[in-house]
Amino acid sequence: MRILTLLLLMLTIGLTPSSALPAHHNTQAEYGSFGSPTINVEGRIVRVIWGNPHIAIEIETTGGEVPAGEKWRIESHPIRIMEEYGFDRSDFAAGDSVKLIAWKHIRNVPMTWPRAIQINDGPMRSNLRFTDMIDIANGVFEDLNIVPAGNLNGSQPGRAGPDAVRKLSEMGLLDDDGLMIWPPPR
Amino acid sequence: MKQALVSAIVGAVVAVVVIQIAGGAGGDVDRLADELSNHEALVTKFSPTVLSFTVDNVEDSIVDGTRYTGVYSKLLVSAENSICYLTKVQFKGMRGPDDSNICSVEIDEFTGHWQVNATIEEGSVSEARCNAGCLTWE
Repeated sequence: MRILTLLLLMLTIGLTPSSALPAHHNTQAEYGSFGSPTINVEGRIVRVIWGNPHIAIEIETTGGEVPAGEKWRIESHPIRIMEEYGFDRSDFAAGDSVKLIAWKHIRNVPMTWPRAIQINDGPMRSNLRFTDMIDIANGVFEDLNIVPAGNLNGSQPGRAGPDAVRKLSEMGLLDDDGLMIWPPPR
Repeated sequence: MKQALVSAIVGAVVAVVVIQIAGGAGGDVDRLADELSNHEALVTKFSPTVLSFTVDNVEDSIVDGTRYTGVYSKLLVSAENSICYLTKVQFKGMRGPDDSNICSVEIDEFTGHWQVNATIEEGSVSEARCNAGCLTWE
């Protein structure tokens, strides 16, 4: 009986789906850690590539901390994750102006990963919940005037790093299961 | 007989002229070569091309077909003064003849940079890992 139990346990472990598998591609290896410095990028959308494994948006820069008139590629999450963050394909169109708070690629190629995105005159919206968590833990989030990620509440905070997790816990922003509570309880 | 005589005379004249030119102009040729080799514009124009290799990307271009299909591209270097080549092609977890993966390098027309692409075609569940290096010149 014990052997049967053990075999069933091993089979169950072997069949556990891929939630624990590493991400298909490690953005932090290319853009730095979630808490690393960002730059401001302004531009006009030329083309939207709304597809997996990553959506991409081609822009011609118009300002910010990069020279105007350059051609840059914004890359971001897969479609499903973008939607969980609250973005939709219809939010982006050629000709729209965009402002980004973004990470520059470590190899100095014209690629960027947005920490937050503003389209035309809309709000600056978060594109990375773990950085929201880090900024909340450091007490600077509200000053950034960024709309938090749509999936921030209820998220596992582990990828924000142990320091952020500890601070969030001390701030009473983690529930009994260790998941993020946002907005903060009054 | 007359034709042979004319040929001999012409040959002799040509030989004398060639010997005189070679002997008399030798110094001028050397002087001209010396001037050219020290001319600043020419030195700049014909200075040796410096070739260098880029290192591979830290991370491969990866598409995991168990999660998503599609193309993932990473920009490499400006195509103005470089040529890039695949340094890694790895396909994992192929389960049948319909499982189709591609690693490729190409010039991205928008940015003018080389890019390395990993592609998992629709209906495939395997994983492609691709990487590239580049030879640049200045």
